[in-house]
Amino acid sequence: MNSPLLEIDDLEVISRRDGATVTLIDGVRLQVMPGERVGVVGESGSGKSLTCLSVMGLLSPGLSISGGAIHFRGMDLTSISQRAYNKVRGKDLAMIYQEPLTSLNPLMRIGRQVGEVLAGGRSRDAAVYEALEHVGIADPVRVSRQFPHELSGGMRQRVMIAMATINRPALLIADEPTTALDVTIQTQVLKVMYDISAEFGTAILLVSHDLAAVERLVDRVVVMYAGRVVEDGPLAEVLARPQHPYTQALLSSSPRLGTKSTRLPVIGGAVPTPGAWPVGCRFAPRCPLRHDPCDQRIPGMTTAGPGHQVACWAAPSASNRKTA
Amino acid sequence: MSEVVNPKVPAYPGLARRVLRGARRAGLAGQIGMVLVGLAVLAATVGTFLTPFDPVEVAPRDALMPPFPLEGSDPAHPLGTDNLGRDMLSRLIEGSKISLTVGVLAVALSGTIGLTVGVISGYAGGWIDSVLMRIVDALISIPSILLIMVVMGVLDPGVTTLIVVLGLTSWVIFARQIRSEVLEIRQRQFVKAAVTFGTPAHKVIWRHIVPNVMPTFIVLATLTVATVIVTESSLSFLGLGVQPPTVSWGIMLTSGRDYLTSAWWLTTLPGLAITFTVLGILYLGDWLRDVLDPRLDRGGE
Amino acid sequence: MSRYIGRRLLQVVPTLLIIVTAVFLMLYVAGDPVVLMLGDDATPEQIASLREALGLNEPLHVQYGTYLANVLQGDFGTSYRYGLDALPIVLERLPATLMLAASSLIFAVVVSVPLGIWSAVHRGGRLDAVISGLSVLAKAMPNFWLGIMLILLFAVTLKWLPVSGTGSWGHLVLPTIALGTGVSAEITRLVRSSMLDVLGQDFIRTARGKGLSSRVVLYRHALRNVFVPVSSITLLQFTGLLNGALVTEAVFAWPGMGQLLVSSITQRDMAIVQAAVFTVAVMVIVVNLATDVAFKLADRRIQLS
Repeated sequence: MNSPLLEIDDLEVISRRDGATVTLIDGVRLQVMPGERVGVVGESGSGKSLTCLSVMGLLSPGLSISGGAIHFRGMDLTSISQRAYNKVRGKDLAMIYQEPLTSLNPLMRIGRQVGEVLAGGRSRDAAVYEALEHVGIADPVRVSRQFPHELSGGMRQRVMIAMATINRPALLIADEPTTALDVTIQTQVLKVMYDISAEFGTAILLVSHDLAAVERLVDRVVVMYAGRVVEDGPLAEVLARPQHPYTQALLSSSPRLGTKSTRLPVIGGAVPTPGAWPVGCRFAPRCPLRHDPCDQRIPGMTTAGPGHQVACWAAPSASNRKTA
Repeated sequence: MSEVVNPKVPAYPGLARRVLRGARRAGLAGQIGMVLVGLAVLAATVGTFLTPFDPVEVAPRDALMPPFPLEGSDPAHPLGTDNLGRDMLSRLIEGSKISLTVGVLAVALSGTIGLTVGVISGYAGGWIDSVLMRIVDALISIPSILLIMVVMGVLDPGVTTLIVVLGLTSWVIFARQIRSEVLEIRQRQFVKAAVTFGTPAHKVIWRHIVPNVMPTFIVLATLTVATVIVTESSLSFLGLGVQPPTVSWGIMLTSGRDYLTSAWWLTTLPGLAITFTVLGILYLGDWLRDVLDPRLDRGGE
Repeated sequence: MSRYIGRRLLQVVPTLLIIVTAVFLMLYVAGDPVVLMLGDDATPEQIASLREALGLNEPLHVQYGTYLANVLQGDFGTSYRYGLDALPIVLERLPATLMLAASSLIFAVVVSVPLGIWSAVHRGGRLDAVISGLSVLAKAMPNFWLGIMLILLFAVTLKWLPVSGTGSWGHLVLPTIALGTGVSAEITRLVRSSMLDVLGQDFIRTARGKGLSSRVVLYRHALRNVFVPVSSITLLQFTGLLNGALVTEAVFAWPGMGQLLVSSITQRDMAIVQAAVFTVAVMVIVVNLATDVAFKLADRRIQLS
């Protein structure tokens, strides 16, 4: 049995501004095995992007990790020095972002940006061209000399992927990588990510609010709501037998090819904002299955199937519980 | 929002209240500013009646006494005397009167002109705007001191001339900035609403545009007073500003320069007076900017 | 591109015209230069004939026309003090002033850029507060007084540097510091705010995410994005520097245009005053135009969105 590549354990992130402290993420648990592709879905405000930034150590000033641990290859990332972090980032652990235009330095040529992260003694130019080709860029020599604004959105995202994977990282975190792209380009970019994962054995943690995108790439899916994980299981399982009412609502309200629907049901209400979280299950106010225990205590994760867990008082197998 | 419902209510009461509330919460810099400016104003108004000695009367026997408690000094002249035996403290207090008077009046003049031009230019747009801005650009491209020096040299120097000249050259700073504020305010909802109600232009300007331009104007006016004070002292130093026997810190520096090696206090003290007054005004201006409109540029914060 | 330059040059013409006219009007108001030129014991006949010769009896618009024609030929009249053509005298003094302005600007940049970067990086800390406090102080001090104080300290008391005049590099030090300090306060503030702006952007986060050290992120990624706005505003400080130079030269007896101008004004040598005002205005316009064009060029190549 392999040990997990990434293990996020009870992660808690707070924001401190003008003297007020607000909890943004509390008690997130998530695992990624080597080579595994995991998708994290949820609406904006669920904390999925913050989770990624926490793993990378890129939280903005004012935000901090106040509890829990992040184990990556045995190291606890929450307690290492900046120097040690820099040895990991860009090499074993990498991230790509939602907006490729603003995430690339507008005044630096592509080749330089991609190549500056090279570890080891590999010849810079050759490695850069190879990385660019790998993400499907046909003319790497020319693109290398260009600036970000000269490329299309899809090309820029490919460049980001090349930049992040040039060192064959063990884990690639992708925060909404396709949201800013056209639908046709989205498919291409996801395919590039899939191919790289397959070829280099890179694990992927893909964050998206778009179920359709996640579907095409991942093996396992994690659903987050209001700063916590509410469901976690193999993709096929979760899609076929969603256990959490939120997941069910998400699935039925997102348009997916091949399913017949006349109208898209809307989930009533809105995601509670950090600082205004209800006591007890945070989805309760919008939940059709709401009953007594829901308003009193946050449900822990219970097993709903092989490798499939859910945090809900109404889930059928709530009887064999595992303490959170 | 009350402005949309009742377009007749100007924002003036809001401003005064904000300033008073902000006064209590001022940071260190703001407090220092208020103290320094307060001292200067006090000196310039009440102080001039309370000077221990006559700042103009000559007393050659007491010439060049250093500040107390250095050797050769006299406690009656705590800051020493100048080359004509005049008490430094009294002269410094008297000088504050000129600096502040020139500063405030010149800014009152230039501010009024600049505000008017800026508001008209920004609101009217079109060829009026183009012409006015072309003139503004032309005037801005001449180094201001150069222009002022030449004019002061041509006319008879004196306090009144100085105020008028300074007023007539600094208005461009106001005009430009007020104009861009006006351009932005003009786009806001409540202004557009007032226009659709059929409110005549002068009422829109007076009731909506001007009150909302006030924060920028006040901050700018404060900072311009500082600039004018420095400019006046430079001109007086060169002999092109205030003329003796009127007392100005700049003039004190001119005569003091001849005694640089023997009587350092003649040049150090007036300069310190200018520096601290201006410093106080700058801090005050920053504080006003924070209080009146935190949305204004705070240098990247 | 050449069309842009052409257009800007055309815009300059009305500005120059306004300036030239303003100078003309000022001198017209200034009164009678003839008495000055001939001295106190001139007879009324001499005064009258000189006036006739100089064309001072012509109507206003004729004088204006002659004046404009002369200006176009670079003829600003003769300086009554030196007995020579005004413009060449002014131009001869120009390099000294330019040297002072340039060295002050360089001094200001060399001092301010690191200070601005450090305060941005240590934002909110004690270093930031100290630098900010010093900046305000630098802005508050009149530069001529700073000059006098510097002389008092370094030339008179410590005797490390000469008091005034020119002759060696040492003579340039104190005037440069006096003139450059005020500008550096401005530039420091600017560098700081540009830097804070840049450091908050996404690509800095990406650079950190790639495991680059803070130093590399700062100097390789952040700095180049600050270069353009900082440079353009720095060059636009030139006008302010000329302003300051006029006064600073008086303090240090620096043989530049400022000194010439001050003495010409007090002694009513109007030909020189005219020539000097015109020269300065042209310089300012040229520098501003060159700055605009240069940054337009740079902008075209990079095309920041």
